Amino acid sequence: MKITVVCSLGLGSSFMIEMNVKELLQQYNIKGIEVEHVDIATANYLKSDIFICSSSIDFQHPHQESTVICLENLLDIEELELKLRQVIPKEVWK
Amino acid sequence: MNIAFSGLFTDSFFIIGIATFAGLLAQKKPLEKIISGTIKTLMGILIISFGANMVIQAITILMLIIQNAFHIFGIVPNNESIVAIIQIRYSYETAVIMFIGMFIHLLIAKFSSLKYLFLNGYYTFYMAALLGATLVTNISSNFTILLIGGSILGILMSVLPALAQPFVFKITGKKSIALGFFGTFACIFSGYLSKLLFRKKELDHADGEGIFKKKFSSNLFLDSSITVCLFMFVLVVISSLFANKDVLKDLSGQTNYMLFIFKQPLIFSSGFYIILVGVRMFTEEILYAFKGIGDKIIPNAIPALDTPILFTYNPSMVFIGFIFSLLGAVVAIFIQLYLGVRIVLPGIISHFFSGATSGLFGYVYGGKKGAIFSSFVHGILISFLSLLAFPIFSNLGIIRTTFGDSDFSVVSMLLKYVLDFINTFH
Repeated sequence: MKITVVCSLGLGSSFMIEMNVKELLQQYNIKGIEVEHVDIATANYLKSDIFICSSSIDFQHPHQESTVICLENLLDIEELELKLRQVIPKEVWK
Repeated sequence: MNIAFSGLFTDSFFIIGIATFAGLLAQKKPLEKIISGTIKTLMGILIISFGANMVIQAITILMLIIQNAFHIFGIVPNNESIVAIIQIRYSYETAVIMFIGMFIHLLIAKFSSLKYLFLNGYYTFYMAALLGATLVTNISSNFTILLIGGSILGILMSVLPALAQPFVFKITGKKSIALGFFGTFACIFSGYLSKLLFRKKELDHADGEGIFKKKFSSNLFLDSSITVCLFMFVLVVISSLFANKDVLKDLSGQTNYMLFIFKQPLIFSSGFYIILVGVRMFTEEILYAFKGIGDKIIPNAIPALDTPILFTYNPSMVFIGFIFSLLGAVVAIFIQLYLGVRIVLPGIISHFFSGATSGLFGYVYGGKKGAIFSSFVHGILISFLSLLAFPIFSNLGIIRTTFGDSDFSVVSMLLKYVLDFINTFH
């Protein structure tokens, strides 16, 4: 499974969100999920199961159906967990 | 020293390679990760210099066209371009200053009351490049100089988030977030100016919502490479209309000259995109390690992050900030034309990120009027700051570009002033 975090330059905020995702995965001891962060132009050409972005970006993949999580508050780890729980299967969470 | 080692320790590849390798080893990463992390970091540096050449090519041609069309010298402020150009010659100094700066910043956060952890890695890298280039071209390269550069960087990383904090707190309502951004000077300057002029009784978050559709403000401007390309396209087409067709044909050589003109924005934005990829690869491992250490030794630190963390709090002010900052830059061009100096073309990326932030800052104390005023002033300000800081970089052999964000210009000017002052005693 792959999670891609998207922001406009792919340098600043996407990196922070990626760190939060990784922290959650570690906290719940979830293995086998790959996380990376990129800019919007690159994200258009990536295959990923889940895309995460800020609600102001509202990323839509042009070529594939994929789950997109839009965050209202980029750093709110609770919001992130809540939204990730809706898309990552229940069995995975301990 | 043995000839086998000569020049080894002053080579950026060697220093960065060893530092990354040791850092990954210290984090007890698996072997495969250590190898791939080191290789990716080193590839990042090469990719950046490759992108730099494309950007230089496109900017040079655009500026020749503008010069021919309007008989003026133009500058394109773009952080990514100038940092990439600096990397061609000063990547060793940049890397060392960056490592020292991060270390000093951690010390400040640990032992002083400025408990900020500056996690905006690419801005750290850009500031290190600026410090490296300014210090080395004006004095010389030795370890003391790099130590001074690193200390300045570390202090900036701690002080700037603190200066922006009153605004950030008003915007987010949280004490747990800070702004880690090297365009802070212009944003707080224009923010306080609008505080002086416009007093707002109550802060109303809903104010201004819905004036512009959220979608419009975001999708069009957030895909940075597309924005940069379109903007350069407008510039190059307008100036080509006024340029001498024979000159255009000379520039384009064998290629059809219209095709040649249309290609330049594409070359520029491709270079910009390549630089972004390079910066991401280069800073990634270093940032992971930096955040890891920071979290461990300063658990109560406030993360200082890039500007978009503020954008979701009030998207319509983000849009207002961008538009009026750009408008300020256009007004600045007319002032520069009147004064007969070089003109600074709007650095679109800075007007978006920094302009939006100045809009949010202006809104905090002055409401919508404050946001408009603040971002307009901000646009004029960063344009003139880029103009004033430009000569400092021209003796690097960089003739057509400079930094876009305010702190880079302010720091380089202050540094140059101090260095000139010191040099008069020699």
